[in-house]
Amino acid sequence: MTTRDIVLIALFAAIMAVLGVFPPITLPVIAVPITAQSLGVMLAGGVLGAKRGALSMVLFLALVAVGLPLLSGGRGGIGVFFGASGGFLLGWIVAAFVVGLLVERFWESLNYINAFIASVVGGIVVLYALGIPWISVVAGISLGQAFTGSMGFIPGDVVKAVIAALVIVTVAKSYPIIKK
Amino acid sequence: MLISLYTPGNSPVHRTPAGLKIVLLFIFCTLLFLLQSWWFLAGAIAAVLAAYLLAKLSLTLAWQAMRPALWVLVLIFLVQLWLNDWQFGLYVVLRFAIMIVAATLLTLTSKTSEMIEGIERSVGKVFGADVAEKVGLAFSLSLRFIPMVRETYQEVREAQKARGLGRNWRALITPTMIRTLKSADDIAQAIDARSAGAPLAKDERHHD
Repeated sequence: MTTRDIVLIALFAAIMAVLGVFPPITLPVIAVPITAQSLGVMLAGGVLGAKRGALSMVLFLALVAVGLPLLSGGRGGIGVFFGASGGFLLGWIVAAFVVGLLVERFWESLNYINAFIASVVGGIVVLYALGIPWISVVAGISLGQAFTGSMGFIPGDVVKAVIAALVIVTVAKSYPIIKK
Repeated sequence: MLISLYTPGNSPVHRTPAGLKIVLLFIFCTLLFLLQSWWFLAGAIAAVLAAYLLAKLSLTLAWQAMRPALWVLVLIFLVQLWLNDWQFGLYVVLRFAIMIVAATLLTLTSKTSEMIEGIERSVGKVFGADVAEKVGLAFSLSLRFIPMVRETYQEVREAQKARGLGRNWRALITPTMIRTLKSADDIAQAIDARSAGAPLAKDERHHD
């Protein structure tokens, strides 16, 4: 791990913090407000690659855990990991890793479509596969019910995957980090 | 700009090392899930609230910690009401709430700096001093980077607002990211240049 790797990991943890104060957008059909922070998870893997992306999530979550109110809505502290979204928060580490792994694989022929696929697989499929069982345990409901309850967030996450794909490809073209 | 959630004090709860409090918290939460009993839950609630009073923290802080989770708690209660009965619903909701309140106690009574030092120490014990040094660098850099990224973001936002793109995420994120990535590369070079002779990295790479 070079100094540059450490600097990039620290930078992305800071980018996550700033995404937490982004203006949320609301889709017309569903009432769930969409925050930009989970978009940062897809970007971390897509811009930095698997290993550095995952480590930047570890660092960001460590900053949250030691008491800095960096999650969107000014939440922080160990308590958030015991809430309903605890599985999703820890899932960010794996999600960023998977997005990064796929973008690295697609790197030579990276375009909007495969960057979108990478963001969906890592940032939605893998993330929900980790977040839903957690909800099911803490809320004492079945996996199916936890799954149904989480569906409201999917449209917003698809929008985020589209934006992530656009940003990942633009950054890869103008300032590539994964392979120079 | 960065205000930690720590509340100063000198109670026994404040003086207990953060690492010990983390271990106790994990034991506490595991027991709550393993022992499904109203008596244990009632005892747990009493113990946590007593710890708040011992730490001279107002119970409104415990309430404030729970407030963001309130709608989830209500939702869980309603689902349980529909699936099981209100007693089990109440049990699940109270168990959930007391874990959040207990974890918040840890955050309120432990200094952020002490917890970061604790993490560095534990990493050092497990992975060696070399890795601990890198972790320490990553922590300090990220704290320094937050105001830098925020400043860049605000500049970008002003510019995009003038173009009518003030709420367009792509138009806000891409320039912010490219500009801060460039600064990050400069900073990495500066660090390498200053610590020449004591390299952090085994494979020194050349950056253009």
